[in-house]
Amino acid sequence: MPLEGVRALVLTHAWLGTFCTELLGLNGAEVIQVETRRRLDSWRGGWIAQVPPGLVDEATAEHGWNTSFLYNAVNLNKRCITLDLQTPEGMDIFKRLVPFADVVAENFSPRVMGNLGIDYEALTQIRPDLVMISLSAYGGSGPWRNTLGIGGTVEPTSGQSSLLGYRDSQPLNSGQMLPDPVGGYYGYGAIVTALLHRVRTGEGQYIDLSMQEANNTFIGDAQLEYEITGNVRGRLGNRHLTFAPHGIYPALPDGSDRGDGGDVAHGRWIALAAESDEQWASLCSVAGRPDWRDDPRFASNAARKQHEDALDEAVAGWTAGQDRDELAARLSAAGLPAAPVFDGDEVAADGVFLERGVIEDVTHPEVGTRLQVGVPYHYSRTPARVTRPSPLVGEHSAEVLDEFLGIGAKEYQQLVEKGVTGTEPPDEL
Amino acid sequence: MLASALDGIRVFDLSTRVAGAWCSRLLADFGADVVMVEPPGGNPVRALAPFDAAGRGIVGAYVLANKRSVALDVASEQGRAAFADLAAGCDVVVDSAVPGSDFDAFEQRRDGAILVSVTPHGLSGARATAEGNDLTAHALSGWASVNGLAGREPLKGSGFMASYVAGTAAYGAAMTALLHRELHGGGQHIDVSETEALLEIFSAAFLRGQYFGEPFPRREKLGMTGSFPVPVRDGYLSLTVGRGERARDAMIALGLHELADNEELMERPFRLALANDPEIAARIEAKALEWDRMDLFEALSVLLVIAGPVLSVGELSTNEQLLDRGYFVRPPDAPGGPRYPGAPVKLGASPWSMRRSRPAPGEHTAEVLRELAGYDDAQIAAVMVAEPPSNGVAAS
Repeated sequence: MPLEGVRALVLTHAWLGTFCTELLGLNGAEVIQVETRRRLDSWRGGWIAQVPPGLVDEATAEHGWNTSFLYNAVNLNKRCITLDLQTPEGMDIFKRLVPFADVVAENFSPRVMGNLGIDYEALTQIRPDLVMISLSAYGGSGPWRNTLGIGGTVEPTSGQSSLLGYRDSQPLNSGQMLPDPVGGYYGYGAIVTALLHRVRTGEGQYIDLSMQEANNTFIGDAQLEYEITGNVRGRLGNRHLTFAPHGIYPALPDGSDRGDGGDVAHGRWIALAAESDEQWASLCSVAGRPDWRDDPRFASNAARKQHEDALDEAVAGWTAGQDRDELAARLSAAGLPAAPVFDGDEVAADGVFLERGVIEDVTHPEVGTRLQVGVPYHYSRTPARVTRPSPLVGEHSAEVLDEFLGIGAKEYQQLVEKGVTGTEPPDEL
Repeated sequence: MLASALDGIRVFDLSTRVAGAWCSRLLADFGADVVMVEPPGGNPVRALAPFDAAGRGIVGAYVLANKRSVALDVASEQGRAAFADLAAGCDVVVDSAVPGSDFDAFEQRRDGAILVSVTPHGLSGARATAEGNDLTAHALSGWASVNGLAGREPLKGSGFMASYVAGTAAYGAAMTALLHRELHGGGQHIDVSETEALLEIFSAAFLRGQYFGEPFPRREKLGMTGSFPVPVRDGYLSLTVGRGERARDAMIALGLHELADNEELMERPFRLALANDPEIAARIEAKALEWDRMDLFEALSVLLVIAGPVLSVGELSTNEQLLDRGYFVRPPDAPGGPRYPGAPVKLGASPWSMRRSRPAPGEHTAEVLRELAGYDDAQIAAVMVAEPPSNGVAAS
């Protein structure tokens, strides 16, 4: 795997930071995640978390905090140790691990690392060529630096929500807090960029990622449009500024138990677009509607954009009577961008994703074997793959402390008794 | 000392899609010399709406900045030969073609060559040669199925969301391959699917389906119960109440003292409470309507209650946080022109930088052929293609 030999010591939690450091792991870096029992990673659901309903029949699924879909989805290829950094022993161990780390990552709010006495400056006293990244809602400077944020609130403050939604609706948030993994993708790229810089110069560096800024760049063309023209772009639904038709249209319901007679909530949908006059002509021929091709309202892309309401109505009227998958296949074969709208179950059953290995079976000690989204990159020389399930709370504490610091079983047990590390809820709970 | 991580790294971008252009834009932003190889008629990305007063595409202005442009007709013999001569001196090629450029040939010319193919569906599998775009990436990855409202059609992300996701993912992969080459030698061919880059970040919703035995749905309702922004007096604001002290503080800030005093309610995760008791959500939402966005944001933020006003691109252009951090930048070759969105992430020692605005199609053909392939004037004249349209937009 491409990053073998790189080691990261990470204090990341929730999604923004954990996805960033999961990408390090998925590319082959050794990632040691430091968690505190006093305050578990929120994506584990805390010590009150329950085993999810679909797993209650798994004999091994004992702890809610080890069977959270949120946590287990984004912590592949990592080891997890618990350390209470508010105890002198815990902090001492953390600092003794830093010399082994090429990368330190964290996504606390900006004042936390300083308060703990382990900000970048302090850590470079221990490891001068360290690459360190802090990922936060608004970055480490500026009047909002201490303002807390999560994906669900940065989606609005980065401008993304203003553009997401139906043409007649209010601004929306995405279904799954998209800004977190957007920041994570950037954070990963930035870490590797800094590592390359270090290899070439010997110099480490500090990386400051603001989720607001990272996410604004993903609507950067709309931001630039405002700067150039003064226009504030509206919500487009599924339409495209350039091409028409471009949308998600109803198809025949699937008739299974999940469908309920064509109700839009559970119906089936097809995404299709025509990005050229040739593709439009192909669509007309697949639809058996030469009259559409000859209709002056639809004769050119400009005309179709101008008459897009009528166009969408016509297309939807046709697709509503079609089998989704069959129609997607016909349109695709005719050279149009077209696809069924998959729900999560259909994604799991998709032959292409399975064949390409981006979805694969992962065996987890409590959950058992389940399909998970794996590695999005296909490298010809250094293939990357899932090597570990997401770790249990503190699963690797004893192993890691022994491996790097020579802390044996007896000393480890003493640390557990003092509450510095361990795999169980702290006594005060 | 190198000024940037990618000093001396040369990239050729043959891609004709936003995702590939964004990948090479990021490589350029972190210091690589990126040369875009444009087909006759210009890169199709230039033709995407919206347009400025001169008819030039704004998406193109954004994603093609920081690059040089060489117009080459690689379908012609001279064009192909010129490209081969140029490729011998380049480290990374970004491509959007299926089945992709000939990696072996590239590697023969350049030891350690890295080819990054960024395509809608990847280079293998039953969909490899199918057309695709942001819409199909959202449809196939599962994202459309969770965006929007249960009672309405699924929604793609806005604009070129999938393309930017894929471009950023591909930049990470290209950097990874460059780092590996620097440490161990050897180049490689990287296959990045736009759909899979988006699927990667659908992983949580996906695994929920695997654990719960049913797919993650679109939300039923607007408002707090749907975790959507709620209306306030002058717009919308996302409110994340939490529980315990935070929830109590939020209720006090809003002026909902009876709710703040309700011990049992405050200790439950608020989302569950709202789902069970729509009347509570209705009271909070009614109260929020008495506030302006920025006032409520500030009142909540000082209490560490997590909230976020919905801001438009116009409002963001004067956002105090972005301005204080120097986010917006003007390229040095257009100091009087528009400001551009700036660094997505701040690297202390090898920073992001914007060094030039979008090139005209073929603007650097002669310069690049002379500099990188050692061509003389006669050789250059032989490969120059007819002058592309001045606005860079291919007639369609």
